[in-house]
This record gives sequence, structure tokens and C-alpha cells, in this order.
Amino acid sequence: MIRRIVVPVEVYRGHITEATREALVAARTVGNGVGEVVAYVYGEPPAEGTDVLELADRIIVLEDGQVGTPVAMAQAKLLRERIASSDVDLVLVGSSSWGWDVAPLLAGFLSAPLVANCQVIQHAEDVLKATCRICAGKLLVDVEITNKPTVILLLPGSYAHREVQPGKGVMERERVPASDWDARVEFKGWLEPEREDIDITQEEILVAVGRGIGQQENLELVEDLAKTLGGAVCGSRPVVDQGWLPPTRQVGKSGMIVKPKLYLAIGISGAPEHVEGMKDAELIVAINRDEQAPIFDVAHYGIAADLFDVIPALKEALVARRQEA
Amino acid sequence: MNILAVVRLVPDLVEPLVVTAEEDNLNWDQTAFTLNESDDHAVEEAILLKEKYGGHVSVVAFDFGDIDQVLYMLAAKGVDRVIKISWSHDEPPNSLEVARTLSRLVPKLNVDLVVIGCQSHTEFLGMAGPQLAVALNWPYVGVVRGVQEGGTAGRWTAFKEYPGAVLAQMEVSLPAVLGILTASQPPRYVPVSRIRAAAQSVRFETADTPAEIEEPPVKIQRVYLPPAVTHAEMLTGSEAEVAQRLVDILLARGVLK
Amino acid sequence: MQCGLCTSSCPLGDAMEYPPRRIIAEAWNNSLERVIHSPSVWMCVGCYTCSLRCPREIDLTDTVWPAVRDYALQEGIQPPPELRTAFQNLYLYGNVFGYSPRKRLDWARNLEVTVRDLSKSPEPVEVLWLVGCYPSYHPRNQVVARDMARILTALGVRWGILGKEERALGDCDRLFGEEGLFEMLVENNRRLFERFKFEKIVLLDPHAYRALEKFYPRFGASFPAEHYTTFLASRLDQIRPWLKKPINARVTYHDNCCVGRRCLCFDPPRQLLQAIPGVELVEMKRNREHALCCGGGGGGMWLDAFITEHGGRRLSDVRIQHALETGADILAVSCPFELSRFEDAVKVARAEDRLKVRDIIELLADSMGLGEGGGR
Repeated sequence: MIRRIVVPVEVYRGHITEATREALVAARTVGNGVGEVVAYVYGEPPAEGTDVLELADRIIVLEDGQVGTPVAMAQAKLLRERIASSDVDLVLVGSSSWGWDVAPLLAGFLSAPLVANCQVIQHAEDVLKATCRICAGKLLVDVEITNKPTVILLLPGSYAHREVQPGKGVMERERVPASDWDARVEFKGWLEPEREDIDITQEEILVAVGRGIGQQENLELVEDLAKTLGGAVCGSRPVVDQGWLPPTRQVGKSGMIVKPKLYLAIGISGAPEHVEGMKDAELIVAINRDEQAPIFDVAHYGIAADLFDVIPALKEALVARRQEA
Repeated sequence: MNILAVVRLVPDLVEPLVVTAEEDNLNWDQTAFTLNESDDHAVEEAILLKEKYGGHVSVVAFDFGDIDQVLYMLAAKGVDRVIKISWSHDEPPNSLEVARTLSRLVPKLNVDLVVIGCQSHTEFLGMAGPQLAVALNWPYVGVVRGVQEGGTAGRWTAFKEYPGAVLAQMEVSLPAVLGILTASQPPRYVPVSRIRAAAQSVRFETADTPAEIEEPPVKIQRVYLPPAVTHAEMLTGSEAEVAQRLVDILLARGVLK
Repeated sequence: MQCGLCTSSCPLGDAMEYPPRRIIAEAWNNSLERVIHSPSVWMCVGCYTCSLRCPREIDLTDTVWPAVRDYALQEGIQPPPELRTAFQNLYLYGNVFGYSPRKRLDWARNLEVTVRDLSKSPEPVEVLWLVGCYPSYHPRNQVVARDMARILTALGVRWGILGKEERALGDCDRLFGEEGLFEMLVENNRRLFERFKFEKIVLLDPHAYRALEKFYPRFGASFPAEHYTTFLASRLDQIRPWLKKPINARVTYHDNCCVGRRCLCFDPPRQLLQAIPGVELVEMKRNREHALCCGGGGGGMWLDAFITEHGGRRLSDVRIQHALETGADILAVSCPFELSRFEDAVKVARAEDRLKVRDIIELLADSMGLGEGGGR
């Protein structure tokens, strides 16, 4: 029986992260409505966007001093006594730069097991199982969790779209004495990168064009689609060679290696040199007139149709869906 | 500044992975190994720090598989000392074993900074860097891209990477453990002739701290390959139908918000 | 002599800060430190034009450039990233792609002719066929490998391959100054080849052929070798009766640098093409020893981005114009790099419906009724 699940909340530059939201959704799902979900917020919660905290039953705001600065080690340490002394079965941490530090450090501080790269947690008949995806997604491991507490570091995506009931959402505050804060690491500020163009390796959604686009004038159609999707345009080498896109947008062996959430390949045949640059994208969708095009061997979904027909239809469908929401 | 870099071998994903018939482990006999990429970066960062600020770089590794070849290559790049921890098992040490063994070795080595890759293919029931830090009671910052001297009161600065290449500037009191994601520059190329020369001249030291065996406290039930996807699922129908279907997929996969 | 013929012959000479003549001048002056920091060091594509034309017969391509590059590497100069990856892949996996050696035989899966894998069952053969990295792994080139297997079988040649034990011969690494890597490959290959009994080695890759023919013997590894064009041309009488299906097309042939200009071997490929019924052979205005390199040699395959960034251009884009000017329907090639380079160039030139690129092997196989149908 799950009694209590703790979720440390990451606030990144004034916003509660999507990774935290997923961890809260996972907590509600695994708790099956019985276990209590406790969220810890470091420092004053942000002014907006705190609805997500209502997924928790108790929201404990740790206050004062440097507690709100993003120092994973010190923040993880603050949870040590709080978790050790209560009946906590699980700590769920979302994957992020912060989460990657918090989860193992907390596991170390608690002398608790860590289960990282966790894709999904199953709780059935009092048995808790997790499936982990390792080796760059090429290997799966099922584990049984018996220790309490256990710290789980979740992979993004599995709990993104589950419907769950909200929690009780009761907020409490706790003052943290300054002596409890491990000041050996201090956060001094954020540094923005200097860039002439965007860094496509950091984009989550990429719309890639190949020779199939025909002419430079047609790029506008693709840029429009990319904008609707909230992504950026990139291309295969021939498109860059022609000067239609700058080299900063080239994907492939002699360009960049990208691993976005979505790689939409439009009019790209799928030559090995290009595939090398994008084969590890999470979701690959290809549109190409030629159903024999090798891109379909690496894509997850394919549309063998004229891109000039599909792109406008896709844009329309996206806009319509957005208006519904 | 004395730096210790930890390097590990991980399964080489260029080769297809093979699982045992019982699905309880990787078939280690059929697994090829390669240097863990972020450990390669950790060594590079250590050498860069030495080149910039002076000091000494040691590398430590468990004696598993073809680690010697990797160590010759690192020696050719310019590390000062190479230490091997004896290990006589068929599978490489897990992260708990790495952390526990190193936690007993590090205090004997007079180092100010331990660098280790913050990611590794087979780490999921532990993460060596942070857990080593906890065992040593040293500070830890992970996902680091670049380290610099300078900060208040003799601290060093680690740049912690966030999405969009945004960096968090973190000042760290030494001694510390840093989990490196990428070095300040890509790991340097060293010509094969240098590697071969190093193979002739470098002498490995054996750590006088024996390896500690650690069973993970989580029960592994099944180790298996994900179902193979060989071809795209083709979406058919009119453009409007196909577009709708695609939007549904994007929503279900959490791509669209 | 400082005549400057090398620089003016060099297809990328105008983009180099230190073109061939200046490199020699700096070498004489003992001031190579400046040179090794310049991007010029990585811009030679190993086309041998300078070496061919030097009145003093200075072998710039095979001697001067590798030495300068070796010096650069020893001094810690970092080669361009793509090239670095290619070297590392060669070192770790024995192929430039970084693909698993276990996948080296994938091209022959479901092949209808018998493949003698000598690494599994050694037996004496007439021809040890070294397939090469590109034909083994790259989808476009795998078609050529299969057609070659069919042709050899049809001709009754007793041939064998090394299967998953085959590794790169090396040559691009040598030209690029990675002497240590080349030596390692030679040593491993010598030990490998010595295990088998064969009359000669036949290769598809002109670079590998040249390495084997000219440089391996310096390391005590002497094996009789032929490029496939020479081998097949010597069997033309046997091949001719097979060439039944006409290929009614205007065909122009691009001379590769290693077998062509470097070995002055221009006739065998033309003999093969002219034997195919229906083929009208036309010449580009720069042909034989004056052919313009496709830019893939000497590591060039991994340097297009680098070369373009530093003021050069993709030579294959220039060369494809020469081919288009002949009005040819087919551009015939005999080097694995050229297939993808020229097919890309055709795309950039928007001439996909005008010009097709085919390896001579594909054309022969088609005419022999054995062919797969070539590329897209």
C-alpha cells in the first residue's frame, strides 16, 4: 500500500517545470487515490502557473534565505530528515538538469535505492514495478521496488498526457534554519548563450526540408508550418548547399546531430548521411512522394503523398485543434 | 590543483545488444565496449584545467575488458598518472560499486577535484558521481559544461547546463565532485602513433584499495530488447484525414502542448 | 624550382592560404609552424594533379602533404571534426562510418549467387575480392557490390571475400598524415591476407588499390592487386558474349584520380563501356589525366563543409557541369565515392531527369541481364 509519495518541485526561472508536472501526475497515478502526494516547493511559489500544485494533497513551502536558489545538492539535503522521518514510500523526480542531480543525491542522503531512466511505474496488488529504458533506448529493464523509500527519476513523456484527479492542494509553510542549508555550492546567476542563429540541437520540434521542396520560394510554406508547430526549420545538405538555409540549420553527418521530440522530414529521401544526423529523434514523421524512400525505414510514421497537399492540410488541422482547446 | 578523472567502459551501441536467454542480464560475452562518452569529456576537462591552471591529472579505471587501450589513449593525451582497480568479473562494475570503491580510494589520493561523466548507458540503479560525492561528503554539481577557476573565497565555478544552452553559474567549494556532461572543447584527437608510443612507455599503478561488491537493492526482473521497428507506420487517406491523424499522434505523444 | 605549376593546377589552390608551392617554400624555410595552423593543411583532396604536372616530379600529394599533416597532428593541431570522427571510426571499427564490423556482410543478404566467405571457410581462390567500406555499408553502393558479385560469378571466376573480418585498407588516413593509423591498418591487413591463398586481389576502390599496390609493399606487405576495371577489361573476350541487352544512351566517363591520373590507366574503363551495345561514349572536355577531381579523395569525403567554409567549393558540383555539357544521359564512374558525390551534384544542378550516375559495374550487369537496376 502506498502511503506517501513526495515530489520535489523544480521552479526554473519563475516557472514550475513540465518535468515536475509529470512527476505529480505520476504520483497521483501510482498513488491510486490512496497514497498522499506531498509536494515540496523551495522558496516562495511563483506568482502564476501554480495550478499544477493542486495535483498534490499537501504543498509544503520551504522558506527563507537561499532555499529558492537552484542548488540541487542543498535542496535535496533539506528533504533528508523530512522524508526519513515520515512514512514515505516513493520520491518522484522529473528529468531535468536539476532532477539529474536531486534524485541521486537524495537517494544517497537517504541511503535509499535510486531507479533512474524510469519510463513507467506500475502499482498492482501491492507490488510496485518500474520499467527503465537504458542504453540510449535500446534496452528495457523491469525492476521490482521493495525498499521504502525509493527515489525514482522519471523519463520525460510517459506521464505527460494522463488524466488524473486533483489532490487536496493544502498549503503549509516551513521555515528552514540557515544552518540547514549546505552552502558549499552557491548559485551566482544565469548565463544566456550568445548566438547569431538559433541552435537547432536545442529545439524540441524540427521541421526539416530536403530537395523535394523544389524551390527556395516554397520554403515559406514550411516556415509557416514550423511556426504553427512551435518549431524551427532545418534542412539536409543539398538545401544548405544551394544557399536556401544557412549552415547552422544543416542536419547530418557534415552538419549537426539533433535529437528533438519531433523531427518532421519533408521532401527528404533519407540518405545515410542525413539519417545519421537525426535517427535518434524521439518521434520521426516523414512526408515524401516516393513510398520507397529510405526515410520511411527510419521514421516512425510516414505519409507517402505530395507535400504540397499535406502541408496546408496539416496546418489547417493544427490551427483547428488549437482553437478547440 | 590535483584532479582525478574516472573513466568507465560501457556497452558499445554500434553493435546490436544481446540479452541472455533467461532475459536476466545483457549477454556480456557478446557485448562490445567503448569508453563512456561523458567520461571522455571529463578527462578532457581535467586536462584543459591542468593546461590552464597547472596541477596534476590522474585517471582511475576498473581493470575490465580492453580498458588498457583506452588508458593508452588517455596517457597519450597527457594525463600524469593512471591507476587501475583490480576487477576479475565478467561484467563491468555497476555504479554503486564504482561509487563505493572510489569513496575509499579518493581520500588516499590527495585530490582537490574528482570529475566523472554525469551520464552512462547502464546507469539506472545508481549514479556513480553523485553517490560518490555523498559518500565522501563532498559537494556535487552535475550536468556540467565547463569548469573555471575563480569565484569568491577560493572557490571554483562550474557551469551547469540547462535547455537552450543556458548555463547556471555555480560556485563550488573544493574538494568537490563534478559530473561532467561536455568539456569546454571537444575531446582532443591524438594520432595513433602517439597512442602506440604511450602503449610502450606508460606504467599503470594498481590501486591498493580493493573493489567493493554492491548488489543493487532493487530486484531486476527482466532485461529485454524493445520491440523492433523496421518501417514507418504509413498514414493513409485523404490529406485532411491524414492531417487529423497526425495531429492526434502528436498530441498523444506529448509533442504538442 | 618554385614555378608555381602546382598551385595553378590545384583545383582548390585559389582557396588555400598556403597552396602547394607556398607549402614547399615554407618547408625549405623551416617555417612550417605557420602553415600547420592554417586551414589550408586540410584542403588537399588528393587529386594528384600537382604531382603529375610538377616538372621536377616532386610527389607532392603522396609525400609533402602527408608529411605536413603528420607534423600538424604531432603538434596537437586538431583536424576538422568530421575528419576526426572518420579517423576514430577507422581506428575503432575498421571503417570510416563507425558501423559495426558485424554488419559488413549485410549487402550480401539474400544474394542469389554464392558468396565464398573465406573467413568462415578458407579455400584457395583465384580472386580475393576486397569489397570496401562504401560498397559494404552504404545503400547506394551496396547495389554495385551485388552486381559485381553477379558478374564475377557469371564469368566463372573463383572468388572469395573476407566477410566480417574485412577492414579498411587505409589510404585517406595516410594522405591525411595519420601515419600511425595507416601502419596499424597495414599490419592488421597483412596478417589477415597472409592467412589465405589467392592469385590476386581485386578492389572496387581506386584509393585502396593504390595503397595496396604502392604503399603496402613498403611495410613488407606485397600482394598482387588490380582495380576492377583492369581486371574486367582483361576478360573482355569472356564478357562480350554476355553483353546482350543494349543500353541505348550517351555515356560519358569520369576518370577517377587514383587509377586514372596517378597510374595513367585510362583505357580499360573505356573499353568496358564501349563493349556495351548501344552505348555512345562521349568525352568531357577535361578527361584522362586532365580530369577534374570529384573532391572526395584524400579525406575530402569528410571535408566538404570545411572546404566550403574556407572559400573552396564542392568539386563535384563543378565537374557535373562538364558532364551535362556533353549532353550525356549517363555519367559512368568507377570509384565508390563518386556515386554519392555526383548524385548529390546532379540534385543541386537540378538535372535529375537529364543525367543519371552509374558505376560501370551497374552498366555491365544491366547489359548482361544481371543488374539490379541501379540507383534512384
